[in-house]
Amino acid sequence: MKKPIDDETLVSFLDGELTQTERESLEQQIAGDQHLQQRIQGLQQTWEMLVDLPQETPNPDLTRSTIELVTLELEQNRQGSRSSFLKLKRPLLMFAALCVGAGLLGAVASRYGNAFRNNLLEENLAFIADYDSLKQIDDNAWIEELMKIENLKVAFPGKRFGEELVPLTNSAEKQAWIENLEPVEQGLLKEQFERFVADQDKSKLLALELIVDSDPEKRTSAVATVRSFAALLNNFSTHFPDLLNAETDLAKRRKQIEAIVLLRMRAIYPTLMSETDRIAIFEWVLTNSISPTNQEDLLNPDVIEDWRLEELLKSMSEDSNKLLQVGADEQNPVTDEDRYTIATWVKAVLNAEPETSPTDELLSKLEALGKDLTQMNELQRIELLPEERARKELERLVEEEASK
Amino acid sequence: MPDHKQKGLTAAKSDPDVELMLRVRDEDDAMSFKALMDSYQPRLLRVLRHIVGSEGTAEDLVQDVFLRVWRARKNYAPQAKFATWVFHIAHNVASNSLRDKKRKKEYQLSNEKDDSAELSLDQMAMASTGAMPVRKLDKKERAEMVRVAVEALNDRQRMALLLCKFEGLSYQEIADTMELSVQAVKSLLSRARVNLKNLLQPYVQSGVLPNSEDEDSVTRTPASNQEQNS
Repeated sequence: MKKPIDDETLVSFLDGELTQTERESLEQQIAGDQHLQQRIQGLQQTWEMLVDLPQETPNPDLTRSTIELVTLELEQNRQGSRSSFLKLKRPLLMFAALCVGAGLLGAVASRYGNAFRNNLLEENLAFIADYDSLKQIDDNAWIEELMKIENLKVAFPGKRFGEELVPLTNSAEKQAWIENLEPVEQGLLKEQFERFVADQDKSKLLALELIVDSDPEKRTSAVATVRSFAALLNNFSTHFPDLLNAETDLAKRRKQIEAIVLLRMRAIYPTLMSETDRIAIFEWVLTNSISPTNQEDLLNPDVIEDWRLEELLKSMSEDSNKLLQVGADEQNPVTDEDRYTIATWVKAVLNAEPETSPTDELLSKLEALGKDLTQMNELQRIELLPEERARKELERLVEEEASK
Repeated sequence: MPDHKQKGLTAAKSDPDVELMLRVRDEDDAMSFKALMDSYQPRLLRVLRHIVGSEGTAEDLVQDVFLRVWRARKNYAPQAKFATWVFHIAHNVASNSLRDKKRKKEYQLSNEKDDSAELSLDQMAMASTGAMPVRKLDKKERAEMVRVAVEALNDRQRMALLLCKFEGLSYQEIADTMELSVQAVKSLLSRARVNLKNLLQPYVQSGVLPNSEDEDSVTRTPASNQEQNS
């Protein structure tokens, strides 16, 4: 009596994993055995049904956010070691190269097929060079506020296309500026240009030209500020993208982001960051008044280990204890390190001097006079003005409202 | 050198993805890294989606895999096809994730019914005995039925099955990926395919599905899950 054929042998046969001798022998047995044929057919039919499994389509942002994580890691490695100039530039070069396809590399100017696109690039070059950073900024008032935080630039130096700013007027100088870029930087510029062209929200962004067209000293400071803010966003890290995407009100979200930032210290993937997130972080930065004493502490977990727990815990308020619980759960319980972090943060906040903006005060006055700020279309225009002019406009509105 | 190692080295030499990875290793070549990501992301996602059961988690794991590839680039030594290496990393990442998930589940009060599955394993089992009313399958239901059947396999069977079916890896390559012997892979795949056949064949033959309106009569219990996964 022949030995019965086991399932393993049949499966190996179907997967082409039998030796030639084994296969030939089995084929002979199959030919004369109907039951064996049915067993094979049953295995084969259900195997073929696997093609019906739903096919997942990758999220289009997945590659980009992975790239950002790699870039972030490179950036962190860079900060952790003293590197050569070339190494310093590597994160940027990597990011540029990863963001663009191989075909995009090369001299940017020579690749634009028509004069219109050349003009568009040239006219907006200063803006396009900082496109990614400027996308994180809502309006002039925002930049003005950020510029007040001197230490922001020290804490998060955001570099882009070397140190030199784009020349503003001379066409030949602009061309030379482009040609002097590294090939991958040219690729990044091209990629930013393409996104700028496709940007539906260009008009709002172009309103920010006031910044890049302002006086040279202010321009240098403004550009450095927006770059720093973009770098700051990149330094915030989290593994909680779901939380960031959650439909929550601003106040709650802000609390959550603060908790994440303080407790987890990982980067929010910029591509996943909604406007609300950016506003929340912006407010967090303003509220906490980054200073030479807390700038490192807020983001550097290594610093935390050296602090004295007992002394710092005394500074903790009831609110900060509540805040501690926001980002904690069974999987991520609050640790002593977290307590060190939040205690230092609380201390820094308590020591920080409150900042008041004259425009904020005027807006509060308007509100006190019964104006619904959310219904005032005029405010959108005013917000884009330089602070001094915005203040005058608001004073005028307050006077008008008071005299009614 | 053992025969399978020699085969692995030969496969590595002719694999264009190994070429790309070597450029990443030697030159930090970003474009090669991006090309590998573009090529492997959908493939990893397909496998990991069915291992961890959630698209969001699968995407996180895919990202984790590439971060690990990047971190490990300087130590990369091609011993086999690139796919074998990258799926080996994916297997480790997925195993860690499943371990964490199981640990977390222990804290939960009960094993809730999986709402994402319109069709339960118990329904399928009961229907195959003829004890439940049935109705004709449409394409979507067929896909759902296959998904439930695949997710009913235990983690290792499922991984071996997906690597074999969708990645076309040989038994030796699956063994390398999952750190198992070839014999163990043979046994895993055999059990996986027989289990699949037992679950799916009644519907292949009759073209009908257990009626989901009678869902209340059957509940998925922790015991049945454990039994299936044991």
